[in-house]
Amino acid sequence: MKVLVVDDSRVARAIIRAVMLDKHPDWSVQEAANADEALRLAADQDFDIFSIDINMPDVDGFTLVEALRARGAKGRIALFSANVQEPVRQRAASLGVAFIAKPVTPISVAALLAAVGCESP
Amino acid sequence: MRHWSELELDALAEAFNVGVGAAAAVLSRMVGAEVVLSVPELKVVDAAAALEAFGIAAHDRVCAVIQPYGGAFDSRALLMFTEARSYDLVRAVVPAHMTDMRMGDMAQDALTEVGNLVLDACLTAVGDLLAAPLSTRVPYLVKGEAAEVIGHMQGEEMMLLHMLFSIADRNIDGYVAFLLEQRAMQALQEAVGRFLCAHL
Repeated sequence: MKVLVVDDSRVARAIIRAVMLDKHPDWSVQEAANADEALRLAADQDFDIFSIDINMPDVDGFTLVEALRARGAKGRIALFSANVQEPVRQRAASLGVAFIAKPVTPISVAALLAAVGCESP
Repeated sequence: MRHWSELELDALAEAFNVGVGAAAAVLSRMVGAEVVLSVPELKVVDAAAALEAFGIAAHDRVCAVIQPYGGAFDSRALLMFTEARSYDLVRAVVPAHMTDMRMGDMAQDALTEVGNLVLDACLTAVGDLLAAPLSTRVPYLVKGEAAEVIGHMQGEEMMLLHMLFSIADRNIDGYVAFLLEQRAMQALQEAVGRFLCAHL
């Protein structure tokens, strides 16, 4: 599996990556600190899973999801966010992507993997 | 002032991000509308630099809810609004027929309650994430010129979180600060260090 983790927090990215590689050492997990970087990586590679933060500087996670889809990205997407308000969850649902509440922990990363169909809940 | 590494500040910013997210969910339920959040900006400054960091003029009239808390870090958190914005916030959280009360006793109670709920949600989330439980005490409201309000905190280091949020069609921007004495700042930094060791 190829995974792209998009989050402006270096610590959040590192924890997600560490938990995923601990569970699946054979996976490739790459990181992007913002939407532009994510779009550049996705232009060159096909990712199977995207973990995307919502509240990022310049371009938010919702806009990034739409941009990735517009560019033909086929991977499964989960939004991983601290903004746990109901309207935010509903917007994620309307985009057809999973919503996982931060904080980033081994449990929430497992929930993300389950939500994209890579692990039993 | 203590030195914080880039990684420590990143971890702390992420902890506050989770806290602000929880606080916004509470506020959203109170006003019945989505609270749109900006990316929180975290700075460690001394009290003298706080106003500049907030971007507030010394003579601006502000209302601040100050929330003392104890536990792993014994200190105070502060939620501050310009006075005009605080009226907007009270109007957003109280029934329409009560909005003439201006900053009377009930409006002050409403604002203190909002501050209590927002800061409590934020502190609880930060404490939970860092495995350093925090317990809140009785909050109080302070009004006056910004310099005077911040002056209550002089001599302490501040963890400043600038949280910009808007509710429905109103722009209500707030400022959150976590004030830590030297000893509390050290305890916070140690908790961040333990968090990083445990997760990376």
